[in-house]
Amino acid sequence: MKADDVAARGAAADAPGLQVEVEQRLPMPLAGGFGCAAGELLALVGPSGAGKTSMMRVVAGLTRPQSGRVVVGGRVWLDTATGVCLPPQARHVGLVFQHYALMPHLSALDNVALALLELPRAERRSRARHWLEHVQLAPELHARRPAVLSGGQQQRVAVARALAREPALLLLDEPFSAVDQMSRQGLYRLLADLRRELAVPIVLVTHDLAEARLLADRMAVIDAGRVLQQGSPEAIHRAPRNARVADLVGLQNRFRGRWEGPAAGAPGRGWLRWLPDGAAGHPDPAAWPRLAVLDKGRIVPGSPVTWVLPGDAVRLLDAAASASPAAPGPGATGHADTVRLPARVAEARHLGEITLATLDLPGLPGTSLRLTLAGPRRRRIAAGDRLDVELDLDGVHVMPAREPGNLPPAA
Amino acid sequence: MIERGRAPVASSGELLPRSAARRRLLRQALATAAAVAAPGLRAQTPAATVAAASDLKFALEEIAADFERAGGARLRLVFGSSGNLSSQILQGAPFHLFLSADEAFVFRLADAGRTVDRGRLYAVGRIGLLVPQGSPLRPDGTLQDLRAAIADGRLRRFAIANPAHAPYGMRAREALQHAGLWDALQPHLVLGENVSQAAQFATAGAVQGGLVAHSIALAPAVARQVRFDLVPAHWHRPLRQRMALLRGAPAAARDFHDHLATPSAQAALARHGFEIPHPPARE
Amino acid sequence: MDWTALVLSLKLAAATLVVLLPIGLALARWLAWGRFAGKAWIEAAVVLPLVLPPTVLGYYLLVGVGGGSPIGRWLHETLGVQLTFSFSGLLLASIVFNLPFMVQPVQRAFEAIPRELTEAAAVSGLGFWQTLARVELPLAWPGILSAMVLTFVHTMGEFGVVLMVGGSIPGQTQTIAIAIYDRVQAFDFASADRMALLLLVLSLTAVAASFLASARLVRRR
Repeated sequence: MKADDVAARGAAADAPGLQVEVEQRLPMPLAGGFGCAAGELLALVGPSGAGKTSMMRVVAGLTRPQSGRVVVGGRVWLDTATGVCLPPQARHVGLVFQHYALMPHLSALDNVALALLELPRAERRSRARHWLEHVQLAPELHARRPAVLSGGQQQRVAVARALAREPALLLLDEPFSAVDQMSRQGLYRLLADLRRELAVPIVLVTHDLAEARLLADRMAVIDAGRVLQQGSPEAIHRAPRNARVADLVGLQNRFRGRWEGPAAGAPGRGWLRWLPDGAAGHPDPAAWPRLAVLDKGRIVPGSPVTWVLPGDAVRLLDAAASASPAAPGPGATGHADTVRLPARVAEARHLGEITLATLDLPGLPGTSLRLTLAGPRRRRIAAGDRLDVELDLDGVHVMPAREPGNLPPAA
Repeated sequence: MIERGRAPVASSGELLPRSAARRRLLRQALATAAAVAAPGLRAQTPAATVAAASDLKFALEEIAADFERAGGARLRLVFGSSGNLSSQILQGAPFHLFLSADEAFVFRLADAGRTVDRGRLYAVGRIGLLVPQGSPLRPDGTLQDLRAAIADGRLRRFAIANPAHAPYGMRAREALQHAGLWDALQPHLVLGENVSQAAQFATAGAVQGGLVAHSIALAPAVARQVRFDLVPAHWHRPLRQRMALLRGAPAAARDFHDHLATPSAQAALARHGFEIPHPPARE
Repeated sequence: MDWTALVLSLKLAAATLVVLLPIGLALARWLAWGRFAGKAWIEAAVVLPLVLPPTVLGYYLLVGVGGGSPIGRWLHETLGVQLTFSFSGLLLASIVFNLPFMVQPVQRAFEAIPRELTEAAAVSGLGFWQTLARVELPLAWPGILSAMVLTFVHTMGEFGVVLMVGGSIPGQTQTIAIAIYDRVQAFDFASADRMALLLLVLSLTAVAASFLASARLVRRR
């Protein structure tokens, strides 16, 4: 278990929030854990089939893992070591299903009232009405059946039903996947309000990274049933643990290199030799640029590494009139915080409001930068244009190459 | 409680006015039906069950009605082929008195210990050729016309009771064998489960005729639509019809058993085409 | 018109329904949602009476629980019960013979309920019986209704098994279907006419009513 994970989970463990540990091989391999404090929103992120929903079902009590432990608000919901396994009814968990799972034969009001069966009938209906108003479902819709409600309205009913139990934990399974943009904005607002009002952990399962970064305080990246990394979205984005995590959080620029060791005369910095991918290119490492990047003190000098550069650490500039002083060469990078390299646009695909660009680096054969440009960083570029790129070296994150999951980048 | 703006769709547990009315209607209908059926249910349950060969259908119904009118108990009558009925008795059927069309079945039951004694001969039956209205066959008991009809193609189908378990069917086969017609008739035969069904087949339309019990041909319901001629009695083994009380039979069954020996019952049997053994022999 | 026979048939159909409904519901639900080895065999056994000739069933019942069999003798000696030529025998035969009619539609109805709904119910705090009563049964109701009607109508029309196992004892085992057979043999066509027509109208009405009810229920969803 990595130190930062322990720290991350530890922070959550102090607060009366959620702690999950799961380990199983069958029927689906799951490994790892995550945590979330009360009032925090944790996004469980990963590609389809990664096991996010399975993890969620374990937390909700719908499936029982081979071994695991779930503690919410100090109460033990599941502990296979001691044989404790509360059924879903006893857990007081609010679960909003991906396809809402509303009872088709009951009105919206009765659907919410279903979660309130302990109360007498009259009180049940008034509480249900209260919750429906809370999620801003118009009163004339309360008596309608789900079939005649829109997707967004159905989701609000599902949320109201989940909240009616006054749960100790709120789980949302891909809540935005089936919703149109307009309703989505409304739901973002609803979610923000809930975070503020409820003092419970909220877990959001999603494969949409952008949403996770937008809404979540913390993120847990899952792939093939394994929790790869936990932390705040920025932290993961800036410092992915390995190449797989880097891929999953959408870091497109991943390169090979060798860590040469601390940079003399520049405390806190070390030399990273940028190496070509594959057999093509100069075999002589000295011909390749050396970058002075942040030294986090974790990597043994001389070891091969993988390093990533987030898109926002790359700036596009007009090509310098004369030969760039930052032409590749030994020591050319000096001690500056940025490095400037000439680049040529290999392809530029314009899609609505974004541009997907691939830039070749002539000084570094076989290497290219992939960028998604949007908003102010967008330029009218076309294939064949010559530009300069300025790399912010503080954005470079270096990972040891022998870590499992450090596969060569896909072509 | 009706809320303002609520759509006219009932949520679970609440009735629309229409359904409520329908339910009331249904309840009333059921109550009426029960009242109608009740008399049938409350009627006096029969005191004994009599199993009789189906050739006795019309005769026995008359005799049992007389018996009841004369102060006797109410009886339940079950008809079928003698073979079927004796098989059912062996299987435990709740019959009290068995009137067989063939004494062999009674002896078999007696040997199996099911009867009180070896029974009493109550009648001798006869078979004959039954020809429905409009049939190309002639009611000729010597079966000459039948022979001709087979040859010239007038005959397509001919009904008899199943010889495997119906005495009247067995006798029909014997008579046909005697007349040398059995083999020729094979492809045309229609077998009734009992002689009553054979007669019904014979009058059903697609069948040109059959060999059935005299007693059935005499029944008013049948007689008006058929012509009939007896087959010579010596062409087959006699239909010695024997009856026996079964073990555990109640008094009512015993009474009826005795009643069948009375002159009035005997006269009824004679009217229905049976020959009465004089005096009622006990063997 | 043989009222005794009609009443007997109605009694048999009603009794079959009363006994078979809980059994059928439980079995159907178990088959719909259970996952266990041998499930295919059990489903085949349930469907068997549908494809089996009535006489085969009747034969095995006669031989298996009839007066001559060990079970039959035991029943008669210890409980005083006789299963052949009696109403209870008919009821037993009817229950076995109607099993697929009761189980199959209900099983399909339960299978059609998305698992998510029962999970949502569990997460909302509903126990097993509450989920059954408030979620599963209302959703399966059209299937249950059609199963009940099918069973009722099928029992009214049962012939082969009843004849073999029950004989044709008026008031005890002569159901209306057998009574029609009997009346025809007795050349009483008027009676047979009336009874046959009654059965036809009854069956048609019941089935049509059940379809209408199902359609209405589906529309309301």
